Amino acid sequence: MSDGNGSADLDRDELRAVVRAVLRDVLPALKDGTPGGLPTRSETVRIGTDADLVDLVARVLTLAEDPDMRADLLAGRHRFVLAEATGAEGALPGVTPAPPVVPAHRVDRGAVTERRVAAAAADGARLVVGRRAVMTPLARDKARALGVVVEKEH
Amino acid sequence: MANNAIGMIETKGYVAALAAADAMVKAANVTIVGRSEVGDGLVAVTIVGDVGAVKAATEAGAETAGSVGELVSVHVIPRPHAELSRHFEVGSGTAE
Repeated sequence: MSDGNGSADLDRDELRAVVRAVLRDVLPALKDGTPGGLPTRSETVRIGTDADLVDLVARVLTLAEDPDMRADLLAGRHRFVLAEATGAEGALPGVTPAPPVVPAHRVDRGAVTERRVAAAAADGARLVVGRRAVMTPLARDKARALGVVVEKEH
Repeated sequence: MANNAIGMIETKGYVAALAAADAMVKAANVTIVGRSEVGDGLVAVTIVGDVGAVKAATEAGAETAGSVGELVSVHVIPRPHAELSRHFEVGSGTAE
């Protein structure tokens, strides 16, 4: 570049104007998080099980076969949104959903028998064994077999 | 029948222990081999029999003891060591 030259200064001003115009076009798009100013596609996915995860991986691999789509995926122009997350945010912003309440079968005294454990399992409840209650060996086996959560109080 | 398991039920009070012992021998093919009173109202009944029979018997005995009086503890030893019978009154519960 030749400094001190009048025409070069003029060119520089023009260049600045052009750059400003380009930035004006591009900056709002960048602020929105869309690189390159191109629109972002988002796909809602629901992941609750391992099978859902396998489906998502298969979908991503299928998408990546197309070179344009692959570039979009890498650049973050094609995004995946979790169905649960969007639903929760949409319904109650800033409020975390309450943890699921597991009902409890409580035994305060006497024997905790196999039948009591089976009843708790049928209700999908956990078993709270009080300090003075005693669990029989058969009940302990049953709880292990049925996967009933046993909480012993001390 | 292989008497290779021992079961124990301890109650507070004689009546609950007696009721538990009755329920146990009625519920399954087990034999009562001991009753020990250690004071403070604690009475323990020991039975021997097959593992399954002993587990079923203690289940019934514990339920009865709990409803009649105060159940303190229930336990089953599926295959007790031979050494036990030399120092505890566990009858033929130890493996032959």
